[in-house]
Amino acid sequence: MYIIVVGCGRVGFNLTRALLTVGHEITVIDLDPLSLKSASHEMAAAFVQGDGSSPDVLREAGAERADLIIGVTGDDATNLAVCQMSKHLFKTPTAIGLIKHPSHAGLFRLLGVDRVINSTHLILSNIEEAVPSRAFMHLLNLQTYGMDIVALSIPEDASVVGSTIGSVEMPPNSFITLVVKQAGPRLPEEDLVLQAGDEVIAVTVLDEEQALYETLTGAT
Amino acid sequence: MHVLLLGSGNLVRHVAATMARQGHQVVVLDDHEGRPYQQNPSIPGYVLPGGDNLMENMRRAGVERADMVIALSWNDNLNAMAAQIASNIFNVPRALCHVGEVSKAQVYRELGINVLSSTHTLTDAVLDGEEDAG
Repeated sequence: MYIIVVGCGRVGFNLTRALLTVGHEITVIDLDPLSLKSASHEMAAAFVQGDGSSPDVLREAGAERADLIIGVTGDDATNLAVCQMSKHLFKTPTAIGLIKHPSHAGLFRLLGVDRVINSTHLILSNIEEAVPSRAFMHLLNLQTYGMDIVALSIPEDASVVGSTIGSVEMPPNSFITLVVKQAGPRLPEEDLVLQAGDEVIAVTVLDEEQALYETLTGAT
Repeated sequence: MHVLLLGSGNLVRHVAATMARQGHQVVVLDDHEGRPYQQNPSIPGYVLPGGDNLMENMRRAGVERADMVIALSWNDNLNAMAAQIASNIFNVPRALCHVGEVSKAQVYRELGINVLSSTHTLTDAVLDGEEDAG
């Protein structure tokens, strides 16, 4: 695939390196000539210096034949513009945009960004595996439906401990899909009793995440 | 009318002061970090802090009540995003944004955004001046 990566910071740099190793052709665009120069010593991508949200710069980078464009600058507004420009002008099949602020996710999707990468979620899901935490682990984001599949483990002091699944009052658009107990995974039947340490996999929508979190982890 | 202005510098100060004089409720969201909006004390100003959480800061500056949002910062991308947040998320009836780069401005117009372009306006003014002189 031919891929354009806009932003040669830490994210862009490592992303490009990873994509190169699996055999893709990459052009990296960044405003800062120094970042490009140091990256060019380390990898065999093409480099274009300029504003990656500018139509002229995108054209110079070969946006007409790009299969994928990825906006990973440190600025949400720029990443959005990168995706909008390339999709509108060059009919790029897939545009991926990085956001720093989770509140911008809905806007990006609404405006046609095919995949939104939320850096906060990414960092969280990496940390969660290493550090016992009560936050959600985001397993999968179903963009088309605006839904997320999340996992969390039931803490000892949660009020749902000892309750049956049928008796838990869930937010209207959130559903428990699987409960992983020490003995193994169980389907969420009405009379299944939740216990501390159970891993719950649930489908939820963005604006119910907080409510779901409180339902499953809130103390009495 | 409730008006939310985004930007900093002379242009925004002038537009804000003029609209306030005409009796509109004006709020300025200043995109220059660490330089609070200072001018007419009757115009409330907010600073868009570093990290540029635009959506949250527009909410804080009262975008939900706004009848009009005008984005006039020197950052084309920020302006376009502000206008799109206003129309697409908060259903603000009128959203205008300044986009200096001509080819970018064209794309945003095609996407249905109300774009003001000082580059066009200045170019027209210069060409008109030349015609007058010639």
